Amino acid sequence: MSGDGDAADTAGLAMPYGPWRRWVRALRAHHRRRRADDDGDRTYLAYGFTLLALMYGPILWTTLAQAGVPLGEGAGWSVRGTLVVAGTVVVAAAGLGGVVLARLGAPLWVTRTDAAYVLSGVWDPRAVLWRRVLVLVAVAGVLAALVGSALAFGALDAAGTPAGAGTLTAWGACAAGVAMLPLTLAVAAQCPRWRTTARVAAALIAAVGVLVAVQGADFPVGTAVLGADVLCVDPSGCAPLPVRDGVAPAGPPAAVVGWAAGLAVVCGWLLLAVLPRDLDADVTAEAWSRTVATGEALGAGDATGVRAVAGPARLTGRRRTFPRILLPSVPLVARDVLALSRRPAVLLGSLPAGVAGAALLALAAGGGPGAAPAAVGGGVVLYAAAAAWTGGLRDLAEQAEPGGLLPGGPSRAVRGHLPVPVALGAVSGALGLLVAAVLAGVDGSSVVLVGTGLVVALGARVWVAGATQAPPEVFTPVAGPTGDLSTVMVIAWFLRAWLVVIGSAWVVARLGLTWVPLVVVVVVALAAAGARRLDRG
Amino acid sequence: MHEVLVDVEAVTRTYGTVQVLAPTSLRLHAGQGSAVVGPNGAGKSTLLRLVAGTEEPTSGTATVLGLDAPEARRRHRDRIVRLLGPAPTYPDLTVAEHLQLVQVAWAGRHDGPDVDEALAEATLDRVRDQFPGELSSGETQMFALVATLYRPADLVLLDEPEQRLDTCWREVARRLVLRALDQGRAVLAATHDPGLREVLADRGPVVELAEPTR
Repeated sequence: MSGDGDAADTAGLAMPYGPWRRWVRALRAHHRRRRADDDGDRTYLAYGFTLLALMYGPILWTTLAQAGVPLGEGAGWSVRGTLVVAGTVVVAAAGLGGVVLARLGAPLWVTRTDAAYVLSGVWDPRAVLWRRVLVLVAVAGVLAALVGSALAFGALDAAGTPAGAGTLTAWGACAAGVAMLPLTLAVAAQCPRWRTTARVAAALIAAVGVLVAVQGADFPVGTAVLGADVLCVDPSGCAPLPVRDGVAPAGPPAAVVGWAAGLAVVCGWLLLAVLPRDLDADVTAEAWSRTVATGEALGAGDATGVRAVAGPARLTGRRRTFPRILLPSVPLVARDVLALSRRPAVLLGSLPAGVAGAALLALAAGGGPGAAPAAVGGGVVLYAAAAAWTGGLRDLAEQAEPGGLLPGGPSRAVRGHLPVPVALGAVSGALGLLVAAVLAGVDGSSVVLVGTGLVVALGARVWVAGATQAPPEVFTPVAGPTGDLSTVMVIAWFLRAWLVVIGSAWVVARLGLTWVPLVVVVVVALAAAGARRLDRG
Repeated sequence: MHEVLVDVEAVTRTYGTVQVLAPTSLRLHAGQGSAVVGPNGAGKSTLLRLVAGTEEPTSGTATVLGLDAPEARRRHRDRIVRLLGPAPTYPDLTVAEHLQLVQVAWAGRHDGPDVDEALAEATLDRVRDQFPGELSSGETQMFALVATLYRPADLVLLDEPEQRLDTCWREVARRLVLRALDQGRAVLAATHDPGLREVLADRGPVVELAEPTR
């Protein structure tokens, strides 16, 4: 009977048992070979990564240690306070950056396939994402430890209290613990349920960072906690720092160690157990996919996608119309005013930024050791704010045939789009001068510096609008001491306007106002080149 | 006789070793229409780019408004309008506002219908308050054609204006092109649409390009 049954089963199979077994064996062997190949790739990748880390890690650490030297110079025994102030500022900046990073689908990345499986209920997000969280925690921790220990080494060495391995390890561990805070804020900003909380927290931490940076190491509570390990709330000052056997303490204050440990535990729990469950897999996957595509396009020399990734347009006020007074005589100005009225948040955000940039430039005119950094910072902020004012110009440049529907060609259209950014720049500049006058007083040189900053910011905007694709020449291999420098050339091309703004501000602040005419001539020539390029398009 | 707007004589275009446009000649007067037809890869778009002056011929001459085509593109922008790719639009202006901007910017020289009439004629009045990024692909193409023809010009260059349009809108597109011809403009259009070819053939020469060697 059984033999008959077997015969019937065999006859019913699409493939006889023997060949089917051979096929399964072959398939398994094939997968084993594939896996072995993958393992080989992974081993090679790990080897290469280790080699690079060993080669460039010490160089990076030494560079960071050099950056830490100014923190220790003149700080004396309050060097620990200075280090914690610097750390607070870095964490505040990283927190803000992390919240912005969420728009890019990072740091916790999700692919489209992941999103499909998560949304269809096949995977629990936590089951998939906890490994990535661990990777992020490890990377953030290692980087923070590297930065923290290097800065501590540089600062303590400069202050005359060289740190030993144990002290540096303690500073590194504290930095690693504190680094979990911006990472948690970034991941929380990717979760719809936590997004507002993350933004508010980032803003509060940024405010604390600004306050601490302004007060510096003399922040009364801070100094007491950091220096004496005892809370001091006396605004008139605290007791002298404790000195044991004539040696100032070099390790992180106990309060900081406690904060770092507490943050590491709480943030670790949020990152591993809470946040992955609430992640918006669909939106994150979409944003990540867009970021990857834009990154690949950037690598190939095309920067057109950056704008969509950095700040997708959110238009409001569909019912608003052209300003009737402006439309007949200056239609492009009317267009720009209407467009700005449809992005009120961008406009309202850019004006304070422009005022702050102009104020920094005006203050930099006073000279002193902080003049160049203030001028560079002011120029960069002003240039960033100008992005919101030059939307019409950018839209014109991105058209397949710039100004094709308007009379006069692209050059005339560029001129037509200039009055609005010039007017907004002038308003910001005037308010910035007013702020600087209240804070420290201004003179003619402040006005010149702010005016130059505006010319540079707007001129650079016109210049970069002329081309969104890197010319092929920048991809040509360039031999340098560390190998091919063409990648550096490509990056420099993308950052060309920022470099011009930074360079111009530095030159004028360090070398004097006699360089203003040269800077203005160069920037105007660059802007004219950008307009000509649009004309040729 | 009307002014000769386009005079193309035995132009060819070669990329590397591939000739994408065989020797072709064409003469177009004001008020005339000309359809450029042929299979894909025959060189229709290339011929339009040569006339637009965005490319230079490998051999032969392309004269537009009495000048070499690239020179004419620089010096006579106001007399030539082209739709060879996406329309040059602003993402933060609505469909109606684009036409309003064109009308105002060309004040004095704009003799077309007003904005609402133009949108109604193109059956785009439904989307008059939408931004370009919110339009369907067919609506985008129709909007591009309407905006292009709304701009004053003596010479209109169109590259397959019927693409992505359904049967109804192809009919609308033909009507718009016919209106442009009636206004005394010269229209040079590459097309696969037999209806548009017929409209243009009534008003001027048809340039038939040979199938490319594959």
